[in-house]
Amino acid sequence: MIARRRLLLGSAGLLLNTALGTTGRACPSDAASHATDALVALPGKRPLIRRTFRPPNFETPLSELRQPFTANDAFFVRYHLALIPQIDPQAWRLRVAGESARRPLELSLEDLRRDFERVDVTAICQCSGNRRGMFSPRVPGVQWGHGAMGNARWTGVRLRDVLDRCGIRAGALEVVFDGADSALLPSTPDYVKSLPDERALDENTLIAFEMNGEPLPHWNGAPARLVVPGWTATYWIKHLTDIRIEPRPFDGFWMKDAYRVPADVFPGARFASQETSGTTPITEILVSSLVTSHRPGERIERGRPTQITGWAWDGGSGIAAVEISTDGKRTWRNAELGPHLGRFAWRGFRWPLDTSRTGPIEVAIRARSRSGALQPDRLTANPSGYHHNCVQSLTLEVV
Amino acid sequence: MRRLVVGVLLVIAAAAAAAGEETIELKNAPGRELTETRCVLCHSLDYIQMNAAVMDRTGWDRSIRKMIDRFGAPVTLDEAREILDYLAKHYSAEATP
Repeated sequence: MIARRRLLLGSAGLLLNTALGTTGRACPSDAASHATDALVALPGKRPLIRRTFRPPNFETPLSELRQPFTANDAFFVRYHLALIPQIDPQAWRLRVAGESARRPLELSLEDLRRDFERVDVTAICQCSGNRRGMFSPRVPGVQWGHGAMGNARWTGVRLRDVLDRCGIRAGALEVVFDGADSALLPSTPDYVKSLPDERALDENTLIAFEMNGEPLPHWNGAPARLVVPGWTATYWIKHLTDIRIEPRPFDGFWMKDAYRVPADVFPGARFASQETSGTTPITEILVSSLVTSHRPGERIERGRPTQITGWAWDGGSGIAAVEISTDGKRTWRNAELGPHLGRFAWRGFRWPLDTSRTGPIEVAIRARSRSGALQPDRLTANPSGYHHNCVQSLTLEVV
Repeated sequence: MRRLVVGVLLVIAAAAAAAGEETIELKNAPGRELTETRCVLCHSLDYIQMNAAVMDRTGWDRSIRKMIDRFGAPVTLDEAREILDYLAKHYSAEATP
């Protein structure tokens, strides 16, 4: 029954794609919505946009996405399960085991800091469902706006170095990750994810214990979390406690049934051992961009010099160009790009706005990645509302 | 014990996240009390409010089934029916006010 449901979901996805053209509906222009979102401060965080209290799902307001590195106390918070322990960093242990592990390990934070090379990677952390609230047609789930994402410098050790210390047997297929958070009901599946062997061994995949030079905040996974640059945050297991190297596909709920997209619809890395005929796990972040300088419907004084600024990012090939239109997508020009912060980070763009005439300006931005991907005009419908990366448009008013 | 105990100073911090959810009230109508008591076992009630504009009866049926079948919510068939009627009537795109 589950297999058939997945096949139906896959077929439905393809049907939607064929019925509506190659992709879904045109990307809707940003309304001045989310204006009345409640701002609530979790302990240790500045006020964020509350989507749900328990488990906590809070997103970063646009004003806090303007800095190159998103402040730790403004970084978004996302949980599936409501039992979130405060972990004593000195008592914390990381267990590395599994059927394909040669020498199971138990490591403390001090062991990680002392015995392994310290590594930094600057990377976007973005929820798979970022912007789901703006999907058209709408889909159920956490109704995120733009703020289920941020850019940070992650510091820790390479997962590969820890796995090498443990030793990997021939035939290892996936690496499974579990954290200390858990569900209130024993019958609810624990939040456990796996990565393909190759991704786990990628030099950029980290066990991170610092974020922007500070110890990880509690709500962002203290004392240590997985960081998988270029892949969506569903894999970035927080409060990491167990790593298991296994010779077979992991079949827990949050891999087998959740976080899936219709197969053969989206570009990006394939998770071959988890593919079925109908669906495949979401993997890489798709090229995207965001205006942070102005809100939809914002009024600008005529003659006032002002720039449209924001960010562009993708799953790790880097940003080649950000194009901007101020005439409702009729013509496009290349915006000026900011400094390169790393291929997994976002890249700034800016464009001086012509405010000499009163009236509306229809701004649109689209990013082009170095791998040649361009943000689409239309959304690709999928049942879970993932990969919302269509071209952003917003109307500004010169008064 | 199924859940791993991490260190002797482990403290469950779920209460901190829950602060504020007590202000959430669902619409006063038949089915409200049952819906509230079953749903808050796992999550705050804002999940219902958040999804209302996206849902219809079919959507809520699917969602309630997922809560029971996949997440183990202790809800009987009769209770599920009553909760579905309540949510379909008061928290759907075509909801009655």
